[in-house]
Amino acid sequence: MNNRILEKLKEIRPEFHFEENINFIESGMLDSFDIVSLVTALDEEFKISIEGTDILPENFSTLEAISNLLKKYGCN
Amino acid sequence: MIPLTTFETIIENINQIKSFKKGYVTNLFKTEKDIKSYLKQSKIFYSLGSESFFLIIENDSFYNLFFISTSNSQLSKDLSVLKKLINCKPIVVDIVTKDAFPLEKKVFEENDFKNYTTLVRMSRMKYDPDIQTESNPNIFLAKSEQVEEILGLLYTNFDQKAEQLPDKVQVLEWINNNCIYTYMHDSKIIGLIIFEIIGITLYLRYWFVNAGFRDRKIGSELFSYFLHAGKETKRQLFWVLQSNENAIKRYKHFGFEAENMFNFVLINKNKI
Repeated sequence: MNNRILEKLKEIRPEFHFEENINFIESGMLDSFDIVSLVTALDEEFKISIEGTDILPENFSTLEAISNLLKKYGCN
Repeated sequence: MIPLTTFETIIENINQIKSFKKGYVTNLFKTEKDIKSYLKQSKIFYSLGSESFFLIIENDSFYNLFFISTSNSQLSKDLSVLKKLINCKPIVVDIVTKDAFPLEKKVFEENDFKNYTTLVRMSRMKYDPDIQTESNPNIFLAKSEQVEEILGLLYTNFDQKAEQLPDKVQVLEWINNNCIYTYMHDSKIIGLIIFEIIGITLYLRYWFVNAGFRDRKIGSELFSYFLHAGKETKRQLFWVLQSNENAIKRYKHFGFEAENMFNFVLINKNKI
């Protein structure tokens, strides 16, 4: 699953190398536009619908956070 | 239009739109911090369509409109709930996208909106921690007592509809974070540069030189201070008016290139 997440991140911001131990938001790699784009991309990739209550920066800040969010929606 | 009183109302409506599982189109990229700032000033309202949620932010002479909808076709249908507003007030819609011909823009154009201006984002990936800048005795970090002067310069010299100008709270925050350099002449600000550093990204927000002092390299000196301030960053970026060919040429000289990112600024036709 992590590889699929990384692939989507790379599509949104191809200029960056996304790694597991980085906070994507605090590091300035992802902004609010990127997060909305990422939500749409993850919805499509994993056939889910991430709720508004889950569209919080902390849920998209790291690879682990994104992975945990997707697991909440039954993805693995 | 209903006054928005809590941030949670937005979240509830996002949930509602998503619950239709038909899609998600939006131009709302504001952060929670931005929204809460508008809430404090009681400047924010909302309207509901059958599958759309509209957020309206009131400025002195116009409104900014944001939307969340299940699809562009539904957005087009639901815009009718705003017809009364559209006919009465200037309404500005920002469409931020990687698509040079976004469908959302077409939807608004078919509903009596016209392209007011277009901005493009320019950026470069450069890590230059050893960059030096010559000290200039006329360039200073802004002080809090200059906040009104800075606001005056921004609101006089930038297009409020196209360039999303800050409020006093935001300018004070930038001053306190040492993110504003001023070029002083006879105790007056004749040039300024405002930026933000978020992690590895350096954002140029505003860059200005008084018309009477141009062509004296004041702008490029301020720009070198800006680059020096962000010397630990790896990416530098900003938005520029697509029509400003002179500025784009100068930025290219510094190694910046246009990204595939556009901000189409639309306004209702009868209010241009």
